[in-house]
Amino acid sequence: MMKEENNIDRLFRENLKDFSEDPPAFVWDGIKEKVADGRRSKRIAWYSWSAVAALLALAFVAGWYFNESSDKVVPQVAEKEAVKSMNEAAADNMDDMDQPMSEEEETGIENQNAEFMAEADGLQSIKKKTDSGVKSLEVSESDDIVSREKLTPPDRIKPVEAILLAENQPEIAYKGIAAQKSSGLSQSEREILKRNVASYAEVDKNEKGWRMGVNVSPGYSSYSAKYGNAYAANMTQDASEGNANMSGGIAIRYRTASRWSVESGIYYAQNGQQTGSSPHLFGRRTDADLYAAPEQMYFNTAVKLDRSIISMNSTAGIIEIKNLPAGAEIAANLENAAYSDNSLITRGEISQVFNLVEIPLYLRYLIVESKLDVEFIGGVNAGLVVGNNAFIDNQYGVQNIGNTSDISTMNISGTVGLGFSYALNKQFSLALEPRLNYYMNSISRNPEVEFRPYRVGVYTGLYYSF
Amino acid sequence: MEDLKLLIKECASGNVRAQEKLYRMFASKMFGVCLRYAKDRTEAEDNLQDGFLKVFLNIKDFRHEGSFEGWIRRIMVNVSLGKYRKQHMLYPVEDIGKYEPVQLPDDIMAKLGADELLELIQQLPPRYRMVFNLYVLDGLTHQQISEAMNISVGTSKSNLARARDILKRKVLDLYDDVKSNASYPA
Repeated sequence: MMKEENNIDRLFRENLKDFSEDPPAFVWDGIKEKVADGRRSKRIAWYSWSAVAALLALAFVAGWYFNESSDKVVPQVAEKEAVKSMNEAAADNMDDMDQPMSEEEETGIENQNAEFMAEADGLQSIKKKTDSGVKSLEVSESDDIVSREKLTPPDRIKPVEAILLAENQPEIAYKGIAAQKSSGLSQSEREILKRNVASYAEVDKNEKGWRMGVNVSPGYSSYSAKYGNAYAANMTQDASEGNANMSGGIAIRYRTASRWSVESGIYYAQNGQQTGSSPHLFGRRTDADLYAAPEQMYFNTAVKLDRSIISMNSTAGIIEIKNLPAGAEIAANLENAAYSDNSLITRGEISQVFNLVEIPLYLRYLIVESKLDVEFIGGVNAGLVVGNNAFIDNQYGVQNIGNTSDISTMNISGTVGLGFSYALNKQFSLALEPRLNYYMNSISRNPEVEFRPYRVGVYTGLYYSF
Repeated sequence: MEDLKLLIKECASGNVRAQEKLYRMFASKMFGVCLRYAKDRTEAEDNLQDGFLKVFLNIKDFRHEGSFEGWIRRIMVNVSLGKYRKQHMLYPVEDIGKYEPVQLPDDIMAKLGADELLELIQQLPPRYRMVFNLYVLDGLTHQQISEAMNISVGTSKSNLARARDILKRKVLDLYDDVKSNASYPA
């Protein structure tokens, strides 16, 4: 019994242990395709992750930056206040020469003085002016501090501006000084203040803060594409064009205290391609159009019939034709061997149109700051494909024939542009922004098709600052 | 040997040419393995493809500790087992009775070729085919088989006995055919 078992085992073992046979060639093709597929999806994942990382980094930098700049506000005020307190302190010294001064106050003023001396030349000139003010005060008049200020020539408005600022922030003002500050202002000084307020307001349009706006843009979208050989051999002619369309959306941006702004929002856009009638160029087509009148160009492309779906290799991927358009015929390719047994023959143009919702993350840098600001814009968009249709436009009109298969829902595009912004007043501004938007990944998941749409548009918008 | 190591490294870094070279090196042998475990060529082709995808996916984890061929072979066997598990989860457990011992003629080796034997294996009921392959051709113990296939050791043993029995009868039929054909004058 045992021997028999060994017998049969041996029979099979000796014959089959190292049995080998060449597998058919398509097995390797399948493996290659799937490996490429995996790589492609990894690449898309990489794009998505890097977009997320960029977003986080930006958010972090923005947060850090805004924190930083809000910190800066305090010393800025203190600095300007130092000018005032110098005035006041000098006045104090003059006026209250006889009055006993608390030690605390004295050291406070001394510190201010020390700081002040250390400042740059510009400030020293102010000091001189302050000194002269003090002198004139000494020779001429009363103990009214404000009347001393009156002597300041109107073109030297800096210290007055500082007073204004300090007045608006009384809680930060020095204890001893704040009490004296409450005294009334003379008429001429009010004039100066008014002018300062006006000039402040003008500067304000570019101060940090939020800006919101609506944009519309006529655009032209086209693409760059690459195809696998097998795909290309059965494809619609690739001498196709892009299409014109409208896009637009809502933008919101935050301007930092410096020249940078961060922008997001939500935009609607269209991308796609149009393929016109193609002359008989490639071998694997039916010969129908050879018999047509010369001026009648026929759209003539190999198609595959599978159950009720007709699939056709086109520019942005395989179109699954669900409704055969009016005025179209399917003809058998009698002499063809391989891939496609049939051709679709029709006159007209086929277009593949994708509707996208794009969520941008842009950085803007202010290059020229004036009444007409010029900014550089750069950033990324998350593009969600929300609409996917294929149309044919022939003598029977525009007909929806189906959609493009293997289109990824989530895509990443990059944007660069220039922004011109004209300030209508403090709140409203008009913007004109030429932008180029380019898809960084192929929006088709089909490994044979690499289709990257791009779009140029001139965005016109109205912005509101708050 | 160093060449293979280098090739493996290249495959791990995603070099398609290297992957193709590696595939060409092992495809025939592994197709042989897959054919033994599958019910037909189509299934074997599928398993070979899935197996190589797994190889390329996991090749970066190959530690060069054992034979690389053994490693690939194990992957192929595992893929085949996985496919079997998916397809025959509910396959009823068949018990065996006693089988009459069948004698094999001594010259049988000379008369039957690998292709014919392969066909016989493929015709076995799936469970028997798995156990027979694992035990006889890939050298697993009943304990290992019971773990790999989630069956008891006893079932593994009885399945093997049943597989042997079926194969013996079929081998004899085949042998008789060969013999009777040979006895006809040309």
